[in-house]
Amino acid sequence: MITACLSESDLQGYLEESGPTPLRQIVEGHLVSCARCRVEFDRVVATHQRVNAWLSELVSPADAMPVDVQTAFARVSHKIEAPDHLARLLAPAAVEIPWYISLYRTLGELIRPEKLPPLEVTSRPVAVKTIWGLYARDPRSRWVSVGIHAAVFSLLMFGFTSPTMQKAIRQNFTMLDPNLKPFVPEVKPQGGGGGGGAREALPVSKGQLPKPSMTVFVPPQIVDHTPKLAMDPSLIAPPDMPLPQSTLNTRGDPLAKLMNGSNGNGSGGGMGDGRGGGVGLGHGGGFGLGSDGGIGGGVFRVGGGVNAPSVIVKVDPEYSEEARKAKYSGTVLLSVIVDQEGHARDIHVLKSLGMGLDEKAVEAVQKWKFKPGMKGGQAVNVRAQIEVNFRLL
Amino acid sequence: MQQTYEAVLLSAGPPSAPGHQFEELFFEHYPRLVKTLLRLVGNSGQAEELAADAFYKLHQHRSQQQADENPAGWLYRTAMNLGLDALRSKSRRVRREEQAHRDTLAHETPGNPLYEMLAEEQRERVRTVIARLKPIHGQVLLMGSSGFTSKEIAAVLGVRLDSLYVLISRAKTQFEKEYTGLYGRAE
Repeated sequence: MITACLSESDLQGYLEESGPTPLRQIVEGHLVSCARCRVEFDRVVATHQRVNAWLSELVSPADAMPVDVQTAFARVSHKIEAPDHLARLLAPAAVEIPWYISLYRTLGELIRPEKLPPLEVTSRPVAVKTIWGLYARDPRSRWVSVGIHAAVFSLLMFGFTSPTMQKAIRQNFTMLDPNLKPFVPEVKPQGGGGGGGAREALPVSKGQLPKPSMTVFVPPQIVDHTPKLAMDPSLIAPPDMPLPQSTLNTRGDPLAKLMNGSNGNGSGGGMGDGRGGGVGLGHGGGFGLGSDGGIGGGVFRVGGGVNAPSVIVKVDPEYSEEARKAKYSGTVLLSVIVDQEGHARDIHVLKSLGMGLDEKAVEAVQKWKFKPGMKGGQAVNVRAQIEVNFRLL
Repeated sequence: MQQTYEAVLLSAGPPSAPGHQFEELFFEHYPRLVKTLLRLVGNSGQAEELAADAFYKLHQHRSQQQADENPAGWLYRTAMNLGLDALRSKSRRVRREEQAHRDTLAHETPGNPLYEMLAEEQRERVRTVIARLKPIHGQVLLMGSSGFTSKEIAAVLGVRLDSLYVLISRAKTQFEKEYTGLYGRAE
């Protein structure tokens, strides 16, 4: 009996199943009589064997590795429970008690405090050592501390107070010598002076100087009568110049020794033993030694409000015959007083050249014409230094 | 008497509470699922990770929907699909892990490292071909090579036996065609 050909399912089922199953019996019976199915069966078997051989390659030594099921289950459980835990964390907070209820409860507890059961103390105090007791472990530390303190005290009290130690320290110390002279502004002395007197027998009386002024109308003097047109006396000096002060109300010389009401034995209308309308021993309207007003002796010097004089007419000095023969050259430094008229007088040689050149320099400077030095807009006598150069061409 | 895999796979309904049933399911199928996935991906760590993911998905699936009549079948299908997806991915991470695993295997067989290297290369070829098949074909071949019986595979896939035989036949034919197309018949 020839049955219908086997299907793909039948052929594959014959290979998959094992043992005498009904399907395998039907397939075996049909293959005996059907050549076409045998060809198809051979093809299926060949494919089956090749694919199974390839798939069997998937078996590796790693297949024998044990599987930790417990750990894996714990990991999966944690992963499953994690969202629940997160949901609990993100859940809205518990419902808060309204403020009025909370206030009511607080007031109630304040009025009628809740009686708590007595506290049962189950712990017992334990005696502990004081912190100083820690040193008892090593007595040496105490003696080391005492020794260090004693050494420091002895060094301070006896070491540094001994003369030998102090001498050594003094020798080793570098003492600072602050030389402030380069930083102190140079104060140029203002020269000048004055004097006067009324040719009286007694020396000038002690008293207070008048105010300094560059213009003098009335010289300082002690008078017995009251003038009809009273004017304040003054000294010839810059108004800002500090003058010696006296606490006496009478007019006089603050440097005098006696207060005798005398104008001094000098002359010129001032007070003192000098000449002029000033006060003191000098000449002029200033105070003290010196001349031509001001204070400090000498004449005005450049600086402190006194302008330097300048040359208007200059005459070149002549060479002496001796110096010319010797081809001698150099500079002569002269100290002169330029008076209010612009002439040089009281010429002194500060730096000499010799060979007759000093005299030639003085002769030339005596012929020069100056613009006088000015003090407060007025011409004053000013001492200045002049350099006269001698050069051979 | 220990319950067979086939009996578990063919069991109709959950005999106990859902949490307890999940635990039983896990302890029953996890080792075999890892072994099956290990054949597919070739990396034990990745196989365990895929198996755990499959169980996690099963838990999520059962908590969101009605209890499945065939949870083991759903689990295996999901695990196979996860394995095939991992096999198809060409990410750098997978290649690096495979290389590390290959190096590990080479160190584990110091007697014949060349043979192991060739075997691993052959396994890579088989996995490559499986990844090129249809998912249902890959599942059938992989479960068949992993020791599953025809009835178990039919229970997992939810098909009849005669239909399973057709699936197996076509899967093997397609596998051979793909393999010879990629690497030649001589292999």
